[in-house]
Amino acid sequence: MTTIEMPRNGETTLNLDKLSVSFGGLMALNDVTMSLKPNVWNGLIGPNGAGKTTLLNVISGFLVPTGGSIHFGDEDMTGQSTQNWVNRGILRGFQMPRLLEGETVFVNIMLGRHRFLSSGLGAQILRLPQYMAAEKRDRDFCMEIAERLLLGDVVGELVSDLTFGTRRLVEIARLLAAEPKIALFDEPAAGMDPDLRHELVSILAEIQSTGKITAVLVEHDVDLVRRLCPVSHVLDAGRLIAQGATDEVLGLQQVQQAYFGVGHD
Amino acid sequence: MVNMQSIVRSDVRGGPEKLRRMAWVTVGCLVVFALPFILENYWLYLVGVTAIYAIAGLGLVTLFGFTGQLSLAHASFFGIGAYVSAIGGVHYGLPGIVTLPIAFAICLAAGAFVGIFALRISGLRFALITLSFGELFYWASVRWSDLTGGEQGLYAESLSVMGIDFGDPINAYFLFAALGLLATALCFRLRDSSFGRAMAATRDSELAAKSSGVPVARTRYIAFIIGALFSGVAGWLFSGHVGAISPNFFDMFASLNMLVAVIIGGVKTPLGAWVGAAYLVFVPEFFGMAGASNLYPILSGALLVLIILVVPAGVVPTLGQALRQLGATRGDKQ
Repeated sequence: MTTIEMPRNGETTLNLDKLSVSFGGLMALNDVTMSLKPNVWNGLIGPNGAGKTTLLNVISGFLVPTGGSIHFGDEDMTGQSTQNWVNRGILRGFQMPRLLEGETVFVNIMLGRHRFLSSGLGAQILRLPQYMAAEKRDRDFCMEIAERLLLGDVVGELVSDLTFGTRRLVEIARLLAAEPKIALFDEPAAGMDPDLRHELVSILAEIQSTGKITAVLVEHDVDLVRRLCPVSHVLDAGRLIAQGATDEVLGLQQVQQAYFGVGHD
Repeated sequence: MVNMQSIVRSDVRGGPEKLRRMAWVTVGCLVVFALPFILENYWLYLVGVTAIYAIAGLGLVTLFGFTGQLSLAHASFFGIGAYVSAIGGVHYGLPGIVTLPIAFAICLAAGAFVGIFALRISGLRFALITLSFGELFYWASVRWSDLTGGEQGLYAESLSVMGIDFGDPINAYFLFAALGLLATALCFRLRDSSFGRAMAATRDSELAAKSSGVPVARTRYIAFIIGALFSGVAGWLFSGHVGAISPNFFDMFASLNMLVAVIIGGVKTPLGAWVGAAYLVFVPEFFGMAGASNLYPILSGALLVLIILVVPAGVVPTLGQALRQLGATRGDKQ
């Protein structure tokens, strides 16, 4: 089994300060302040409609916040384009995998390498040595990731021919191919059959244990959050109602009330 | 162990795959060199027209097949190339070697200009923008009759480049074959490059593209210009080869025909452009040979429906799949 070698994130913290997003009158996010410490996995939990996906949209450039600010280290990321977020190595997955349906699994994974592209169109067409060397490295790296994510046998298949769970793996493979500093997972294990889910969780745990990337994990499965994320943040109706060590946070009464309803033991 | 050759569609191939590809290329070269000795001049001429439409079609494969942008102005860029070549020759006595860069530059400028309006949009609205440019071009080609000859069109002299007369059918044939192969190789390389993946990403999922750092608008813009250039160079070849051009070669229906051709051939593969071009050129010819030219407009519609029903993905992908299945069953028996 190959281990995926991820580069170190470094020591950059992503700070969200009094972040708000309103859609018309609806406050999807209301005064959210949190920091994502380097190489820490963060659970992001809360009931449906709490603003979890909205938060991911904001910290990947898909949505411009209506209030507050975001800093990655010293850099102001508030309202930056998706492109800039990706260039900083902050990348997201989607609840429903977004893939190139007409292309093979391998092409989909290779897309993740796009942010490292340094050759122009001319160099690509002429197949200049520098481009070809980079392409070869990218292919090898992506093949490693494919093997690790159990996609080794389907790399040549069209994505549209795959089952839902495998498609999810392809998206995660693309995300990892991009060597993220901060990876944002939106319910990565949802809707997967038990076997595949088990595999996925162990892959995520392996990446987590290397301690080399920061992650945000939006997840309804509390046990999974406990296992992967030492820190958790709880959203309810757009407000951050608790954050801290996952076990403590999950034990808080207001979290249980918001998340599980009253009377849950 | 996974066979890398089966998954990567380009460079790092080796072993049997490379041999097989070499074999195909050799067979292809032999056919290309044998044709002038087999075919009469008229058929050679038609093969030339096919190569020209294939080059234009390769632009459409890049724009529509790879990038998913539906253009209804493709024949207009074809027309720009054709008129520059014809007007330059007839009115100014310019040789082909001079009109080619002019045609190239004008198509580049026109593509860059029209592309600006289409930057943020895709799908039907993009098609409509290109349609309005196409109509504008058609109108200009009819009205600007001092230069274009209006509805009557222009006679164009055959190309002559560096003292080689391409009015000679065999010379012309080799020119078109060489340029056609070059354009095809270029199209394959575009598809298999990083830029090719970026194009596919903007086609299949804007979200996937953006979240991987692909600049969606810029990728579509460049693809549009590439398509315009392919078409323009093809048009430049066209007027000298057919000898006379008029606006109806470059109107909306011409654009639609080009679109239909690549859809029949297979929109995502460069080879589809060749099959589509052959369809455009030879099917009307066969109707003519059967003495039923009048029936072509009626039956072509029925034929089109039939083809789309039988090979919805296009001729080339369907054939390719059939060949692979044949290979697979043979492999099983061994």
